[in-house]
Amino acid sequence: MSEPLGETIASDSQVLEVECHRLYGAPAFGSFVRAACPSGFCQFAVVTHVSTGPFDGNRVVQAHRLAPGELEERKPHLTSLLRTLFQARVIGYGDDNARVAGTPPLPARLHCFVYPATAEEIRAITASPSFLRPLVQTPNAPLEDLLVGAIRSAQEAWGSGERLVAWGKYLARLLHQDYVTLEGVMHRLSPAPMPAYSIAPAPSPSAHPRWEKPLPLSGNGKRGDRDPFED
Amino acid sequence: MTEQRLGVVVRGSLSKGLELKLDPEVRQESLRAGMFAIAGGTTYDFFSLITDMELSATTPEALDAPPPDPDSLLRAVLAGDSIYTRASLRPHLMVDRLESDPKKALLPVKTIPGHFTEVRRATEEDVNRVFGSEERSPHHFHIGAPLDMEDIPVCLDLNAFAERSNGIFGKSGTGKTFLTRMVLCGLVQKNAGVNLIFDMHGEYGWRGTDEGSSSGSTKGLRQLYGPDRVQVLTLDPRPDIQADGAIRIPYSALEPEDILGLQKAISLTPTAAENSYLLERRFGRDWFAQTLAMDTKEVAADEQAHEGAMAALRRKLSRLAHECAGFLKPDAEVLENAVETIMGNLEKGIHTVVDFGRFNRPAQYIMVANILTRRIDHAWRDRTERHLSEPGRHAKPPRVVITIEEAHKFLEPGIADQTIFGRIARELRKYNVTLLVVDQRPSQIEREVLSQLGTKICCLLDDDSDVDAVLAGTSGSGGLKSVLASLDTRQQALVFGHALPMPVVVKTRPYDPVFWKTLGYLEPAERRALATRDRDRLWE
Repeated sequence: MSEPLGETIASDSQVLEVECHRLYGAPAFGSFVRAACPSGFCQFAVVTHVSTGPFDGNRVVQAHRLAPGELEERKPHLTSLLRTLFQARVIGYGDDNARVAGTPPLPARLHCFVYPATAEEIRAITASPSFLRPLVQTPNAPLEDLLVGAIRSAQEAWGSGERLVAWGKYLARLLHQDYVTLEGVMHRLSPAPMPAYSIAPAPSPSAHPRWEKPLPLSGNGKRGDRDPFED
Repeated sequence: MTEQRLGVVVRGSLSKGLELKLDPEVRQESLRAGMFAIAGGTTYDFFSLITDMELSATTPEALDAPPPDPDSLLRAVLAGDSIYTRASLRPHLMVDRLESDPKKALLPVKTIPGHFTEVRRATEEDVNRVFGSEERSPHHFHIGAPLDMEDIPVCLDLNAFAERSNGIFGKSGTGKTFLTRMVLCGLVQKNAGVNLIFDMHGEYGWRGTDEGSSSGSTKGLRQLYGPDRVQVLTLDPRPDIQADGAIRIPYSALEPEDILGLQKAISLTPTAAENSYLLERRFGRDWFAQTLAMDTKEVAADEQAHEGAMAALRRKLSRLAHECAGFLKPDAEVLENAVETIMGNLEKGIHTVVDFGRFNRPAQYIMVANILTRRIDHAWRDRTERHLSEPGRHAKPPRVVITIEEAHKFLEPGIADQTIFGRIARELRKYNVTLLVVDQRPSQIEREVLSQLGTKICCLLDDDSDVDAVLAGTSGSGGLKSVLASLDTRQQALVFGHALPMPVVVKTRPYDPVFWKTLGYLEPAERRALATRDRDRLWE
């Protein structure tokens, strides 16, 4: 089994809110995830929103004006002040024997671990195009991007574009009053899919030196890289 | 050809027909107006014709911003669902799937199939089931194939065909003559009736014209069947055709009714034409000869007729006698009565072609056709009455089919009810005489006569009034109108009426050596070889 992405910190029948175990460790927007409940019952969802911010809502994040890479090296403690969250729209549920698209009878428990869905699970959930229906009804999401992301993820799991037209036809019925969105989705799905965009998650704290790198001192002091507190 | 699904029924009514939503994988362009489609209901197969097609969209915005690339995903996604093709079907026949007797299985359409009934193309078996086949029935004659089903024969029930008067229509150059020739071959081949053909342009007798062949001509009935079955009698004997006799008509054969039929052709006023009755009463049987020689003033005064009209009649009749001098002769000069020859032929079952040669002006054609037909009318009425009164003693006269070209000249409104042809079309079916009307302007034919035609074979007609005239009184004519207007200019015809269970657009069989072979025709060399072989076998 793959490493968990995070765990649910809020859930209802439609939406899972997940805190990632690693900063910037969220799955890609539009990808499929599985919330594994202790009973063995799983819920499947599509990532609709990803955010990173401080744990403490009162804390204001400021710019440090450091070059990329340098910040993590010089202020490793920041990673423990920040967290990455993502929201996912529930599209199906099931166990190892049967997986169906639809709203689960009960929402996922809190602190369920959330994993990336496997190709087999995605194929089972997307065998019928009805998985697109809850996505179309997702409020406050960039619909076109969400649909493109979800369909690309599903297409990747199927390994070919064989289902693309069937999904498109279902989508055309769902979006019969929003032709512009349909046109945009189909246009973006037509060319060769773009390489999946991902942010490398922050390295785990143990990978960093425990201390901040000293700032260069002014004057003639030749301290080099020596830790001043060791003196 | 395999069964092929076209789509499903989505709307429909008994009065307007069915609406078919085409499956996305079916190419619209593979369908044609006039093609067969079968809606397979739960109990019945609804045999229908495609009468119209229409492009539809559930997403009108898609029509405003069409996907530019024909191979785009968007177009594939929209096709068949958001944008789709609807076809209008006109059911003409219900076939009970459980009924084994073909006659009982074919029913007129009295109901409609339900929503989402599957519609498919017709198969050979379907076509045979509805139209019969030459193998299964001796009266059925293969006239062509349905659209896009070139190997499947559509057959005409010639017995039913010859029972009533029929029409072959189409504008000039659409293959009307070829079609007529083929139907006539069928009537000869299947012995469905004896033909009397008034061959105005020399197309049916010895040979006909064929723009497609290198020689420019094709074989007529006489060449195909020989003198024992078909004879050509000509008004204009000439060396290039092998006629079986010449026709000479004595003056005394002309009757006032013939003049009435000629009114328009010889520009006679109705008053002048009716004066011919006065003259017949005055002069008796010899009235035509006497009229040519009479003193108009004196006769007009005696008969209290209008002198001007009488003079006009004499003048026109003189002109007619002059124009027809080649075959219309004083009684003394006519040795052999052609009328009797023709009647004798018809009674013996010998099909007779009256060839006009150079004498093919309307007046000449109308006059001869009128004279001969009137005689047949009298004789056949008489014989039928005798047969009906004493069926044991008197045989029923054979069924005669009279073919007339440029039929509107005989059957135009105003004169159709007075001429013999109008009478035949309306009532002579009872006396075993029917017409085969060949014309290019059916709108010029009286409506009442048109409505009495049993089977109509229509090549392309593009004048609206002609189309309306042909379809008047036909159920579902709205749909057939679009079918008729979309026929090809050659070798296609819409056939509907008494001799067929439902209308059908056929690609007509070519009239060529292959067709002649199926009729049993042998080229002279083949005939000689066969004779030699038979002779040799005789002595083996």
